[in-house]
Amino acid sequence: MRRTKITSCVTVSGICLLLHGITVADEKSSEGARLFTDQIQPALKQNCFECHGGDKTLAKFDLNNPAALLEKLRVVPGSVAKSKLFKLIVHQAKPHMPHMRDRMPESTIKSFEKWIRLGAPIPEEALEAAKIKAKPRELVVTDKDRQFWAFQPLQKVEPPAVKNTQWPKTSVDHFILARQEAKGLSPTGKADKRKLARRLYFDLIGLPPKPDEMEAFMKDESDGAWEKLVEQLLENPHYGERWGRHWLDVARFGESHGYEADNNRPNAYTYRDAVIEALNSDLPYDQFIKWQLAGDEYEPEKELAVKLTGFLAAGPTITNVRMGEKAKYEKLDDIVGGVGTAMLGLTLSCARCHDHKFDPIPTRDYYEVSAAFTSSRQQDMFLAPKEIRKGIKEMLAKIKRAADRARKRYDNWKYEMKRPLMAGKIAALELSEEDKELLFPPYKKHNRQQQELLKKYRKQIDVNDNEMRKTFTEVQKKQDGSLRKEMDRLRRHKPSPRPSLALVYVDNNRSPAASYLLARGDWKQKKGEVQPGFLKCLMPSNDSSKQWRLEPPREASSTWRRRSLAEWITDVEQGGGALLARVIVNRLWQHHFGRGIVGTSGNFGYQGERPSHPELLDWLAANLVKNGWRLKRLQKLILTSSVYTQGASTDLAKEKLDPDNRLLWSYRPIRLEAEIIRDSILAVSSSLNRTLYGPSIHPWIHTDAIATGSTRKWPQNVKDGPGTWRRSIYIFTKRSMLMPMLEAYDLPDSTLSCATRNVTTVAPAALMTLNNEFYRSQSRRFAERVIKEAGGKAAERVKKVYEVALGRPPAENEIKLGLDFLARQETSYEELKKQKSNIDPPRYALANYCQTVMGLNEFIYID
Amino acid sequence: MFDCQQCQPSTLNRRDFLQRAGAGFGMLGLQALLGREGLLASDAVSANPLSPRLPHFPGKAKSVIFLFMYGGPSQVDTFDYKPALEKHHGQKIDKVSFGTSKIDRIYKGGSLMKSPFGFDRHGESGLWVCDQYPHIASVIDDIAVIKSVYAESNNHAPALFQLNTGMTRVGFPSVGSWVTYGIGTENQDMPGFVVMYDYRGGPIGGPQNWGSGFLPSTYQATPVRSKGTPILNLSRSGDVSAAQQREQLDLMKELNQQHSKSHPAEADLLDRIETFELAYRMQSAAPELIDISKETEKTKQVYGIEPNKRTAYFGTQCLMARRLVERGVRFVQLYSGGGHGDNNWDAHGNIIKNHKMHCYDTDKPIAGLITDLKNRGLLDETLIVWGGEFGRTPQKQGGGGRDHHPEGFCMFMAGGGIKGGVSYGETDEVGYHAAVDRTSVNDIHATILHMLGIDHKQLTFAHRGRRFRLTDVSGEPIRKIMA
Repeated sequence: MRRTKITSCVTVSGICLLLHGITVADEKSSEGARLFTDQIQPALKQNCFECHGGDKTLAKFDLNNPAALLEKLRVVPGSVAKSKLFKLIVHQAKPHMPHMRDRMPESTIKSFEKWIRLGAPIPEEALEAAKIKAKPRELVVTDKDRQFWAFQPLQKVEPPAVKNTQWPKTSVDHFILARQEAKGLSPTGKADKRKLARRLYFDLIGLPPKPDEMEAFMKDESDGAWEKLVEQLLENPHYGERWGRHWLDVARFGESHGYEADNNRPNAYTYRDAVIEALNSDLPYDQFIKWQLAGDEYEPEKELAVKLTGFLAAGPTITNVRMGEKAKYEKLDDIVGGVGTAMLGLTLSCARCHDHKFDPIPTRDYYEVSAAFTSSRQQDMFLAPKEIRKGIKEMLAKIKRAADRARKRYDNWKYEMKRPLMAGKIAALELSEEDKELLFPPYKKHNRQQQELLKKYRKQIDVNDNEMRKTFTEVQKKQDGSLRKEMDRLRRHKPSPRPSLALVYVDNNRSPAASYLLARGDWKQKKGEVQPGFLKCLMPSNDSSKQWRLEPPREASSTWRRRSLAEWITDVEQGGGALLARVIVNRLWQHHFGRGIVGTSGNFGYQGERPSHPELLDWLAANLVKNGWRLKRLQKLILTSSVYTQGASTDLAKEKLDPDNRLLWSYRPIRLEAEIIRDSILAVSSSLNRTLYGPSIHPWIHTDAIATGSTRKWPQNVKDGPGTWRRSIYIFTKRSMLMPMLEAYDLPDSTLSCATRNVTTVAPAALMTLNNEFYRSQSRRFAERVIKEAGGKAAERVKKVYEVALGRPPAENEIKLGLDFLARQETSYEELKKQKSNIDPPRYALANYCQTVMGLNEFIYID
Repeated sequence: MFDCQQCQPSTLNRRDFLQRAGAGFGMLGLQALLGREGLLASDAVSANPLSPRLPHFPGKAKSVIFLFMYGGPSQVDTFDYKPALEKHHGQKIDKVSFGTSKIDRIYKGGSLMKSPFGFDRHGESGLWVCDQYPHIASVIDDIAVIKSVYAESNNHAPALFQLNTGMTRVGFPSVGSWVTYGIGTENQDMPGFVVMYDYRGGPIGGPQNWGSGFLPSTYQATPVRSKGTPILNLSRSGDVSAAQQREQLDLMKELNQQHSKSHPAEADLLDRIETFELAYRMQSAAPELIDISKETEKTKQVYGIEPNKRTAYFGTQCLMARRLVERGVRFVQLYSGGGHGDNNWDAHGNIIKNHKMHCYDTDKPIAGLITDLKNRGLLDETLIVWGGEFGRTPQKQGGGGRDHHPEGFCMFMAGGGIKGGVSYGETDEVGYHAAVDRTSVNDIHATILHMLGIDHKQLTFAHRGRRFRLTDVSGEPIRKIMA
């Protein structure tokens, strides 16, 4: 009979620690070994393997290899008390094991105890078997993984019944109210009409209602007044600017390359314009997504489609050529990460260097998705039909050739001029005549001996242009000038008119570039090629990828890899479409209510929040899909629901039941975003230039705020005027030079996709409100407007300020406070006028009053 | 009385706290103004959330300067000298025997790499310092190096959050917020908690690193710009007088308070009133504070502030930090390194190039700060904390870099009651795991609070039915490094 060899040879951090004898024949050990085979191993399989063996190795250990018991679970042979494993399974130490389940049966625990007391021996066969299996594994996505709520197909749900049948106006309300009723909560009453109008204007177009618009709405007492206003604002062209900005946040849109040099991208604005246009025209959301991924592959001749590929180019780019291939992979990561977060609410970048730690996303999936983008390039492209683009390209090449020839001519001429001078220098060198001969120009083609000599003496014999010019005769000077002029003329020649350029991200041709799986995200460690594929947690089975892979038709000039990805990501039945729909309806909800149904709107994975109203989320998503992915239609549904028109509650008892208002029993004031605050100021001072679209603007920034350095970050001494008084979405997004005024109100830095902006309340923002030249000058303009519209009476002026800035008439005591303020300020300015005669006390006082009102909480918190 | 003790019942939330602390809506700003002068730590002014309060016990330190080396400086190339790395240079880590078998997390990739820098003993204490830190080496007898810190995450964002807030997730108050919440600040004309981030950009996560989490936003850090003018919009426009601006503020306050009555649940609205008051006071206090032109050339040189010197950036920040704590600002955090790649300490590709640059940029400024504080008699009451979100692997990555590494790394503290010339804790032979006197981030935080006289177990805030601490459920102050 063969004697069983039993070892407890444990590799701990590479050291072979012999815990006890290698060959043990005694009774104890063989009994323990039997126990291991008969009891322990089956128990491990049954209770632990789901997470720590086979496909999953959470906490980075795999019990297929029993050595892990000693290495990772610190089983101390002979001592139950010291063994971590034992503490875990008897629920003495956390995390209790098996996780989230009851203890194993007492008999099994007894077996573990006995086995440890017997010295925790492991039969060598078991260790050997493990070695064979112990190849490093890739994460395998299982059907169980696909059961996570976010990866499920959209659930078919019906709006639930509610007790209070008066309140609900739409199906949305049923979902909301049912949850409230279950918790003993009730909705807050409707907000007053003025507040609602103001709320809706800011929500949909990001501008305060003009006084006449407000009055028109107040007068309209028909039942459909609210619905009419919703429709009207959804059709307002400023809608695209307002909602486009939300999308630009998640699209990490910037107009400079980022990183150290942060060079500008003068044509990046075309993507911003395309987003605004797409939203204004209510482009179906699935098409919006398809075009951002592959507009050129769907509609190569449609400007909007091609411009939308700017999404892929929107993030930062390393421009340092020395970074080479690393730069390429950084860009790919920016794109894959951007697609993941913006479209699917998944943190794909986490799977770049290793399998995703929380979500079922293997590194392989990451590289398969990235394979869609490896054949593409970020470029400025003429917006013109293909034939014309070709013509332009040819023409530009011709111009370049001509310019190159002119340069060559000039270089040759200079060389001839320099030759005698060089000869002189060579002659003066202390060298043998033979060497001098070798050095003598022309030495355009030189042998090794000449090369060495040159290397040594180049500095001494080279003649620079200045030296050369010093020797020129008048004739030569003229020749020099004309040759140079010719060269510059051709180099600078730009044919006009020519079509405008757009920053896009398209393929070079129809043959795909190779894509690789990288180990640890390191481009130097390529682990074989990968074929384009998609996330396996978002498809029926692990080999479903092929059903979306498209081959480009013969006439195509691209690989259609991005189009394949777009087909998968919008496929609601089988692919990523269900999640895509959930993520966008959640974003709509977030911006209407200040918080998404899933609070972490950029992370729908395991680490993200679970939805507060899962049924509502799926119902909304299904509704969106069913109705052709039209966002405006769904928004109208939400906005005409009772939940949206609630007032702000003052009921602190409800607050106790649901402190974060997750069940939406009240409307919570939302602070306006940086851009909207600036836009509102411009609107109330009647300075706002409402022009849509076009190249970005550079408003005035205080010189103190423009960084001093080698790069010219922002034009200095800009004079603000109608040209820069445009909506803030048109301000040039320079990654390293955000406008301080917007930064103070938490403008994102556009490095990464931003799903939810910070809301900070700090003193620098207050200082800005008090002292910034923009605030001051717009206050003066606001005052001018008020004087013009309200006339000379102070009380009328106060009323006008309220009407314009806050959309309501002032209360009695507010009028009184305003009048007192104006009177006091006028008096003090009268005093000052004695020294400075140009002071106009009523105007100055009114400007200070206007500024004060624009500093109010009510001005920037919308309720 | 200790303010945070007021909210004992765990059902109270942040809003209740504010109502209590403010004795009713809208009282905060007013109280802040009235209770500003000389009413240290009395009950009467506890209504002002930033008024100074007595700590639990007399602390040595009055203020903290936290020098955050963003990106993760390498322990084995700065303070944790490992001759064994020279011996095992080029070997795989699992082929090397080093004595900490207890610990189970190990990343085996890459071969061991010796430090490209030289090491020597310095000062009377004879502590090891790398040759890239000649100035810091000269003040090493004032420094306690902690060589056994470990953290949880090897990704920047969660690691940054952990060192700043104790938690790897977002949404928790940072150390500076906890401190100002606990003991207020001495100077009512400046924010109690100031952060200056690097001229190359903020760290990943931005303001969340110095945010106040669930504490009132009064306690979040105010960023002071590190390029150009530190605080923008400080001076009043020429056509409005101080008195007139005061009237603007009074009107604004009155109207904001009225508005808040219909929103009793919104603490942010009250916080914003507070920031206007602070901004108003800053106008008179801050210009003098940020004006370093009055500092002598000699002082500037101590910090490395010289034209066209790379040390001028961080030197200016360090000098500003001294001026801030000198004037009673409680907590100042500086970031060395920002943006991407080698713009911070994240030396994946080349440790020589990266660390040479960052060491050079910060060495003289940091040593200058310690020296200058000492000369002014301020070092005893100013706690300096140095460290990054993690260390770096003893193994090589790529051509000559090192990867992120949270298993064992260095931090140091100086001043504020810290014993100088002390080395605390050890990593294993190759500098991989913290092995002796292992120090968690909670321990670091507990120590910072302790030096200020705060018992980290008693500084709590009730939120969502639970009393939260900076140190969660663990942490011990490191007594061995205390003077």
